[in-house]
Amino acid sequence: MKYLLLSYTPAAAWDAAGADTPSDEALAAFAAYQEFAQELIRSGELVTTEGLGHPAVSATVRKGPTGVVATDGPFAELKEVLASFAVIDVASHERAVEIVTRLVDLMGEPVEIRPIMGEEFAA
Amino acid sequence: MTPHVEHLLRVEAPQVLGALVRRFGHFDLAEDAVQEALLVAARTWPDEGVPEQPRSWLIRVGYRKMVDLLRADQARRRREQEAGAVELGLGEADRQPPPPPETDDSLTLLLLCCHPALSSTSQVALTLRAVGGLTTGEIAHAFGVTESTMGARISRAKQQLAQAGARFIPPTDVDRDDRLAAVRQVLYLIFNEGYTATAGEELTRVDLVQEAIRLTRMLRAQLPEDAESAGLLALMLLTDARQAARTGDDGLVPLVEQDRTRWNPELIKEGTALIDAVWARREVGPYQLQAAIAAVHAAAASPEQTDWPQIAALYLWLERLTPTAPVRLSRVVAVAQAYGPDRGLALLDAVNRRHGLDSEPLTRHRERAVRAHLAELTGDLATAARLYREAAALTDNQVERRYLLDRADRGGRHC
Repeated sequence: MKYLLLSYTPAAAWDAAGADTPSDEALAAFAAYQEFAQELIRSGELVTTEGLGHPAVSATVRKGPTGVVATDGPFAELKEVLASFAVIDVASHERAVEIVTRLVDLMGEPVEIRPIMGEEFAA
Repeated sequence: MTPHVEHLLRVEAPQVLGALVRRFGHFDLAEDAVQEALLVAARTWPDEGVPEQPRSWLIRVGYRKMVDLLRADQARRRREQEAGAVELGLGEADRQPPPPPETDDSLTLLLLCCHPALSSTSQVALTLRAVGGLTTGEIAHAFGVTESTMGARISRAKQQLAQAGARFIPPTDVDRDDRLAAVRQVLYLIFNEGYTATAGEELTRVDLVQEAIRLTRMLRAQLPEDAESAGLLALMLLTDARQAARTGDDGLVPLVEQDRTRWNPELIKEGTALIDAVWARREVGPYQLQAAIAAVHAAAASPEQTDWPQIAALYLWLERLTPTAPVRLSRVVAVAQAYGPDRGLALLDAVNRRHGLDSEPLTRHRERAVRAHLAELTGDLATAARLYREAAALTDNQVERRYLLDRADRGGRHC
């Protein structure tokens, strides 16, 4: 079954001046993460994963009194913003938690696990 | 900044801008962000070396700058209690196939900068900045205006684009031909601005002639099948080939008096080959005709060897496509050269009766000068001297005025 993993980061971290020159620590963590991702690709459990653009380059489309409008920026101002996502396909909920535990241990930032409902739950 | 870095930034600028705009929209902010990224690169690369992937580096830094600009923008808007919302038309989906990853955005950018919502001065300024990668200061210097004036012009142009709802999409729409014509016109304007502003003693850092040629080469690379774009490039090369012979100690040297050994043979060769290649396609347009005329001139080792009947025929063709006063007058000159001054004067009288070249501001002074020259050739020196003085009184260009008065005096001495 599939799970959507949502990785959040503090809004302030996006704006760190040093984002283009990561610390050695961050680089080491990222290398370990990539190794782990390769492992999941080999096991067939990683479906896809992508990083996301800054909320500032997002747009939100809403229905308003005058019709549908697009507004620059995210849906709401948040302290923590969605920074990346992954879709995994695993045998059980426990396995999903196990994978994410390792991810969080490596990367340090919180990850939300959302079950992807699939056909059997569709109305 | 080293020439290598400078060249690299010039070439990469439109690609970086294209990548940001295609992904995030906001042409106006993206353009500022790219300028900032270019400045950072110009500051750091000469010391630290050029990164392995300069384009990716510039895109990353540009993206970061863009985020900063957008956040400032959005914060300001929230303060102003204004949503900055765009109403969406829920019409038919305008599906664009995703462009290939290694796409070249320069043509899309050119078309955007030459958008019909903009005045031609705005089109020129925006093209030089967004596609040419020139700084506001460089463009201001090239046009002899202050940096703040040019900055305001560019900002206004970007706002107008946003208001016009101009979108960054590859040209597939019906008005593509009109839009391309606008692009060619803007490039030719840039070229002429550089070519006629012969402030010879002051070498500007930005050579608009070379910039126009560079951008037109880029246009041609994007549209190898487009005969008029090739014609425009050929016209520029053949015109630029005469640059060194155009000015002498006492100002402008007319074509027939130029020292042809000072013409640039490489440029003539390239320009002639270009026009010859597209001429065969029989999709002739005004730029190809002007290039063909320039090529005929270039083929003559001396003025006497010029094939004037052919030039007269080409001008007749050009006049049918673009019936403007300057073109009509040029045809008169060619006919006079080909078939004698009497025939030229007769044609000039006939054209004046129908189109009034002698009262048209664009041709008023040149009409007098041409008539004076033809009168001189028929031996009527008194009339020639009078007409040269009339022509001199009608021009604002000091160099040209000196030349005309000099001709008047020379004629007068023969009397």
